[in-house]
Parts: sequence; C-alpha cells; structure tokens
Amino acid sequence: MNCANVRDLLMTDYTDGELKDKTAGKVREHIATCPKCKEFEEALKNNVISPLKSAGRKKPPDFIWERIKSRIITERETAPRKASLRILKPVFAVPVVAVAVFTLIVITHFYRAAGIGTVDSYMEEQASFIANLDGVGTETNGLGTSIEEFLL
Amino acid sequence: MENIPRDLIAKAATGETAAFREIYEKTSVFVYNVALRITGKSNDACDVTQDVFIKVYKNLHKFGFLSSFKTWLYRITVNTAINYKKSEKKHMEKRTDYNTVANSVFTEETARESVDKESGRERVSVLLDALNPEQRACVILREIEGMTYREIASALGTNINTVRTRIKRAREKLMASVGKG
Repeated sequence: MNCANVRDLLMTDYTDGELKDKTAGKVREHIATCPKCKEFEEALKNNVISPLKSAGRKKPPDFIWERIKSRIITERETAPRKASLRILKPVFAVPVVAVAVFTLIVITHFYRAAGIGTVDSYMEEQASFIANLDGVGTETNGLGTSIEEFLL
Repeated sequence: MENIPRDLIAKAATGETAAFREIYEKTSVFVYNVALRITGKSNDACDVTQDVFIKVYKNLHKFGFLSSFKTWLYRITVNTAINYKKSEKKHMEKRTDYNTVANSVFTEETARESVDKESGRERVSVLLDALNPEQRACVILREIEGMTYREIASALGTNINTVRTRIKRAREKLMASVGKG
C-alpha cells in the first residue's frame, strides 16, 4: 500500500471506521513506518475531524414550538374549509351539476308549459270578449242572460 | 436521535397535538443542530426547524412505516436546510448590486465590528463556510451526528460512493483552508 492510497483512506473510510479489519490493519502498519503519512493523519485529526466532532449541540429556542403550534392550529382551522371545497372537485361536481341542470330544465319546462296554457286561455277569453264588444254579436245573440231573454 | 415508538407516530398522525409535541421533544435537537450547521445562522436554523416540523405534521398521515421514521426525518431536515441555504445564496446574489453601493460607504468602525463578529463565531462555522451545502450535509451527519456512510446515503437519497466522494472533497477543502492540504 503506497502513501497516496493510505491518504485516500485516511480522508474517508479509515478515519470513519468503514474499512474491514484486514485493510485497516495494513493502513495502521503503513502509518507506523511512514512519518509523512503520520503527520498527515495528525493534521487531519487536529484541524478537521476534532473541531467538528467536538462541536457542541445547542438546544432549540422554546419559541420554535410555539410557532409550530400556532401554525398547526391555523392548519386545522383551514382544513374544514378545504374539505368543503373538495365537494367541488370534478369527481363530485360533474354528476351534481348534471342532475341540477336536468332538474332545472324539467322544472322550467313544466312551469313554462303551464304558464303558456294559462296565457293562451286568457287570450282566448279576451279575444272573445273584444269580439263581442263591437255590438254585432250583442244584437244578434243578446247578452245571454235569463232576464234579457225574458225582456226580449 | 432517540427512536420514536410506532404508536406515538400513529397517534400524532391522527392530529393529536400532545403526541406530536412528544415527537418534537425527541427530535428537535437533531433537526435544529443539522439546520444550524447547514445554514450557519441561528435565525435561519429556527426557520428551517419550523418548516421541517410543519412538513412532518402535514405528511405524517402519508408515512406508511415503509422506512424508518428517523431516516424520513433526516431526509426532510437535510433537504429543507439545503434548499433554504441555496435560496438564500440566490437571494444574496441578487443583492450584489446593492451591496456594491453599500460597501462604498463602509466605514472603518463597521469594518471593525464585522471582524469582531467573525472572530467571535465558532470555529466549526468558519470551517463549514468552505463547503457547499451537499458537502456540509455529509460532513455534519458524519462528524456531528456520527452516522455511517450507509445511513447518510439513505438520509440523502443517494449512494454510498457519492457520500464517500463528498466527504473526501469536503475534507480536502478543509485541509486546504487551514493550510495543511
């Protein structure tokens, strides 16, 4: 094992305990007999590995949970609104709208038909009445009441 | 990070705040510290921690126990922190013009304050400044959290060789930055 190989392993697997025992043993043997690689290993440990490994852990500030809790409450409050909006998703909306439109058409048609019939009969009555106003009808047919028939 | 019992996750997934709080108590130190080391600022770490737990809360019902909860949380944390760091970098680049003007009126006094602040920073933060967010994530999970290459690969959704390469490049940069490379 040459110095380049050893330094590659020092940078990664050897230092991180990822090597098999046999290979790790070979690296150890090389370092023991090579002052330059020994110096490299010490520099790596002292300047890079140790400062990071010894970095303490910090406790997160308490207000973070308060913020999270407040966001959760907001999420819950908006959730029912979102749920009601789901009814309008295409899966539900298409049949609901189709039934609504069909019902509306049927009802409109029914009332329109009923409405037109009423208007027609009313118009017929009015036409008949107006026709009878010209006097001809009245003279010919009289007013059609029993007293009139008696007097005539 | 502590192991999270399955029934606690199930309870939290139904929206039980007390159960979710318990998960927060067990995992927030990990989330906050990874966020702090990746972003490098405590304010940013607070924002990232909050975002991570809101994502967890919203998606907990989708967590099907197909992977470990810890791995799932590692991945959310690292991705959120890396994205935050990258978006901050973009934001800072957009401000370059403004900073150029601002620097032209940089007084001696403010310069001294800046140096003091810099020297007051932890050595670890100064070291990590030399790394890109992906390298930072690997180094932090390895050195500070003590995770194996396999665990890091799983947390980052990548393979072991990528993790190994990132750690090697990161250490090379760090060695160079302290004049020993």
